[in-house]
Parts: sequence; C-alpha cells; structure tokens
Amino acid sequence: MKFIVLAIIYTSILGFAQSNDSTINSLYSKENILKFADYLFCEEDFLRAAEEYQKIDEKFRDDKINFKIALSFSIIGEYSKSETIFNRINSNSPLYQQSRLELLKILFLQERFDELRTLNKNEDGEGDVSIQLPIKKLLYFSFLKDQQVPEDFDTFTQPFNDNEKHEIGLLYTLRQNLSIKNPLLSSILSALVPGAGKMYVGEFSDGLFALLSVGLFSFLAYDNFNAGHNFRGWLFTGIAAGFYGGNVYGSYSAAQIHNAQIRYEYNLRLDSFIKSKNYFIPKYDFCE
Amino acid sequence: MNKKLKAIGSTKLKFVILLLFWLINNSQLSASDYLQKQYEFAAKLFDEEKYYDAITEFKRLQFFDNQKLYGYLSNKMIALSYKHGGKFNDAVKYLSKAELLAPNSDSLFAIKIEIVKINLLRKTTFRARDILEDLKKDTSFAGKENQIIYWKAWTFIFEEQWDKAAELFGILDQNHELKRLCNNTHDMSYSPQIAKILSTIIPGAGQFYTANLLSGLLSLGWVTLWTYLSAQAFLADRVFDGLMMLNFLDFRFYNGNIQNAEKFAVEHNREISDWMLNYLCNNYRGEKP
Repeated sequence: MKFIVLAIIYTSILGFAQSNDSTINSLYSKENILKFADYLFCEEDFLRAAEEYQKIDEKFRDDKINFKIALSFSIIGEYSKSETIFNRINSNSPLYQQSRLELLKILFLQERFDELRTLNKNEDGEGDVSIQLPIKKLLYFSFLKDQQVPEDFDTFTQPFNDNEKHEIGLLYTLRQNLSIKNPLLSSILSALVPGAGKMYVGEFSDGLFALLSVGLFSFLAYDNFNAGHNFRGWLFTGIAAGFYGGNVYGSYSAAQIHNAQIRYEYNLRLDSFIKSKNYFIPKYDFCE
Repeated sequence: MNKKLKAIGSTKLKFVILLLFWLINNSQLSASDYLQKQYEFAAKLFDEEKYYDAITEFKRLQFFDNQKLYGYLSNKMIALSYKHGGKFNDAVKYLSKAELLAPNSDSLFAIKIEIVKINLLRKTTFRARDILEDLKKDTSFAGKENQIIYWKAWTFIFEEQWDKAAELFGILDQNHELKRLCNNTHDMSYSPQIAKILSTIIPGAGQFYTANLLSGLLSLGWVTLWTYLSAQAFLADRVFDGLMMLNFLDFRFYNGNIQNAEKFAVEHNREISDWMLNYLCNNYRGEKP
C-alpha cells in the first residue's frame, strides 16, 4: 500500500513538473490551432484567422484550410495573396469550383474585367450548373460595371432569377440612359450665352444668376462709359469679365462634377446590389 | 479467506480513490496552469507594446477558457490593446463584455472609466458625460465623486472649454496642475464673439484683435474704398451704380471681414488647444485618457 501511495505521489510530482512545460504547448497543437483559427474565422476576425491557419505546417493543410486562408485574405482585401492560394487548390478538390468563382470575384473587385472574361471563356462549360450560373451572373454583371452593356435586354437578363431580374433590369436601363454631359459643349454654350452651359448641365438657378450678373454688369459698364464715368466703367467691365470667365470655367467643371456624380451614384447602386447578393456566390457552411 | 478477500477489496478501493484524486488533482492543476501561462504570455506581449499579437493571444486565452476564469481580464486587456491601436469602437465592444463579467464594483467602475476615456479619445464627449452622470447617480459608486469630477473636467478639455475644465479641477484642488494649465490655455484663447463684434463696428478690428494685422489692414482698406466709391455714385445721382457697388462689392467685403475675424479666432483657438492637448499627452504625468 505504501508503495502505491509513494508511486502516486511520485507520478503526481512528475506529471506536474511536465505539465509546466507541455500544457502551454497544448494550446498550440495542430488541432487547437485549427479550432482557434476556425473560431476567429467565424468571428470574422479574418486577418488573425488567416495567420492562425498559416501556422499549421503546409504539408498538413488540406484544401479546406487553404480555401479558408484565401477567402480570409480576399475578404480583407489582400487580393494577391488570396489569388496565389486559390490558384493552388487542386482541380480534384471539392472546393475547386468555388475557388474559381472566388478568383473571378477578385478579378471583378479589382476591375480586371478583361482577365475575368478570358478566365471565364477558358472554363466555359466546365463544372456543375450550380457554379456555372453564378459565374455567368458575375460575368454579365461586369458588363454593367465597365460600360459595355450588350444591346439585347432579354439575353442580358437571362441568367438572373426572378428576384434579381427586376433590379438588374433597372440597372440595365439606367446604364443605357446615363445622362452624361459633355464638358466642352457646356463651356462653349456658356461662352455664347452666359449661363447656358450651366442650364445644359441642369443647374438652372446658377445659369440664370450667371446670365443676369454678366448682363447687369455689362450694362453698367456700357452705361458708365457712355456717361463719361470711365473709372466706374472699367470697374464694372472687370466685374462683368470676372463673372463671364468664371461662368465659362464653372460650366466646364459643373459638367465634370455632374458626370462624376452620376457615375458614382450608379456604381454605388451596382456595388450595393452585388454585395447584397454576395457576388452571386452561394454561402459557405463553414460556420454552421 | 474472507478476511483476505476483504483486505484485497479495501486496498483496491483505496487505490481507486487515490487514483481518482490524483487524476482530478492533476487535470485541474494543468487546466488552470496553462491558462495562467497563456495569460502571462499575452500580458507580456501587451507590456512589450505588441498590441496586435497581444489581442490574438488574449483571444486564444478566451477561446480555451471554458469556465471564463479570465473572462473579465482578457476582455479588458483586448480592449486596452485595441485602444492603443486606435481601434476605439472595438475597444468599447470588449469593454462592454468586460463590464458584464466585472467581479466587483471597483472593477466595474474602472471599466466604466475606461469607456469614458475612449469616448474622449474618439471625441464623443457627450457620451462620456452621460456615462459620468450615470455613475454620479449610482449609489454603489459613492465615494468616487472626485474621480467622476476629474473625468468630467477632461470632457471639457476635449470640448476646448478650458475655463469650465479649470473650474472643475479647482474643485478637486485649488493648486491642481491641470487647473493652472487650463487657465493658461483659456487666457491665451481669443473670443470669436468679440472678434466678430469688433469687425462689425470697425472693419479689420477683429483681425487686429486676433493679431492678423495685414488681413485687418486689407479689410479696412477694401471696405473704405468701396464705401467711398458707392457714396460718390450716390452723390452723382447714379443710384443704381451705387446700389450695385454697395451690394456686390462693399457688403461682400464687409461680411467677409466679419467672417474672417471669427475664422481667425477659431483657428487660433484650435491651434492653442491642439498644442495643449499634445503637451498634456506627452508631458502630463497624472491620469489621462
């Protein structure tokens, strides 16, 4: 009995001594690193998640881990790292098709539309329908983004489902009818008739003000020169010339600002729609 | 024979009990031990100002700390790390988690004050003041009035209301270092209202008050010139000319002069405030956000 008690005490001491060195490392075992990385990934702390996954030796990393690393990098905007890892995913892997889709998404986000279309052409017809359809949607949507909308409305909206068709239809029509103004034309109009360029851009009150102020000061200058008040004549000429020049330059800028605003608002609507649709990529079940 | 069997049974029972005791003892010891080690490791990273890594390690601690033994501490340290990294919203998020796990009223008060400090840093001073008002009303924090006043005074510093801040620091101690610094800053500031009024009465006077002499002279010169020319036009019975000059030149320069005087005062005060905040940040040794 004494022997057993002594043996237990001895092993306890030994175990405790060992635990000081080894238990801390148990948090850093491959399994625990993976568990912690999964936790970070599901908490949407993607940079830390990617770093944790990368702590696992490369030879022990399966495609799922590599996919999650690439996805984490993609979400935080580290596209080049993400691309490299997605490209490494083996064509036999069940995540291969998703990785191609994610690659297309990266090309879309980086506005590398030509590459997106080339990649899509090379892989046309490959993979199952569940992947082919999102790829087609993303490809068609990219046309709205880089202003190369196909003429035929029905062909354009064909890959989208009924829920998406309504908004896609609106975006298509809006794209075809973006009211882009010519800055040069706007400034020429204002040079001919002060304020006309501003009115062409849609700024009617500014246009009217420019017309009245240039007209008024020109009249005052003319009237003062006629009355022999040369100082005031030159003064009003200067003011009229200032308003005239400002109005010509202002019309050019107004057209540029108008165009930028139109494009910004349109792109904002496009981005908001495609984000709400998760870039047409089916949701993953990694965190369920 | 029976006695022998009983003796064997009793020995076996003792053995099983001892074995169980050993297993439980060792497993508990190692669990708390590795968490303690992980906490120390993360805290070391924090002390070394490696805040990003500290957050990762405190999060690891949280993840493996099933019994939430380090729930309060880890959340607090993650929040402080985020604070040092300038991620104030994340810091508040983790402080709110720590608040729920605070072991006593002192810890809870400390967390609330940390939230106040972060609100000061992210310039949501109204939120900081609301929290301080709630703390003041809460009877469980009786005896901490001075700390509440101290941080309330800091909210006025961040709102650039140096006179009010000095007043509150004066309540704590008439010779408080911060009272003196706030009073100095207040004395060095210009009143935008006075600058505006001066420029309304005499164009350029507000600019002189804010020590912008050239701008003051220009304002005075332009307004005098256009007033003179407008008056001359009226005297020559060219009323329309006079009205146009008054409206498009004289009044424009006159109004611009008033706005300009106010802008100079505000800009000067902002510069003084920024300088003082920078000074407090680098040189003040007392508690600061």
